[in-house]
Amino acid sequence: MGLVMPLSVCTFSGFFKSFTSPIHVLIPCSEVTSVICGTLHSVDQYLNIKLTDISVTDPEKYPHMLSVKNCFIRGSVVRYVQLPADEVDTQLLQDAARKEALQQKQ
Amino acid sequence: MILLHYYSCCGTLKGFDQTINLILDESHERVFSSSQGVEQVVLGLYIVRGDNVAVIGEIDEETDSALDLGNIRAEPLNSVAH
Repeated sequence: MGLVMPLSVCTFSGFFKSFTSPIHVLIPCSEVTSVICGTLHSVDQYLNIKLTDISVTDPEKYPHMLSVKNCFIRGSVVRYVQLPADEVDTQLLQDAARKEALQQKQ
Repeated sequence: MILLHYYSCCGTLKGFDQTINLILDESHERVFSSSQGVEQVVLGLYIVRGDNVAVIGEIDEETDSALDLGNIRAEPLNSVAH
């Protein structure tokens, strides 16, 4: 399984920009959570996400997206983004996040 | 012409801004229920506040016309929570 990280860890969209090719899973926040898989196209400063080549992991439960191939997801509704573990260097990410936290304090 | 759909509405996206407020033309709502799949016209022109938008998806017209809406059963979507 891929690495699951709450998005509060990603305090900079630059991190996401390095992921423009691999496939990852996205779970919009709602009582009935639905999981959208796709290839990351782009991310912006609000962590809004554009995905191409969508597939919904449970198409019987969620037929709403059957005819959608590309989508834009508002950052505020995303609960988790699941990334392939081998694409993430957690040590590097931790160091970078700590540096940024330090910079913000100053 | 792009058909876009958020949570339960389909329409043509005419405009948007940074907070994802949307201008949606020819919008019709796809009401899903466990007993039947119904489509109804809600409003010709909608202005939607960005807070209520979860996902904007581009509808592939080919796949969409192939869908048999009368046979799709699903639970209704919940409202947006942040």
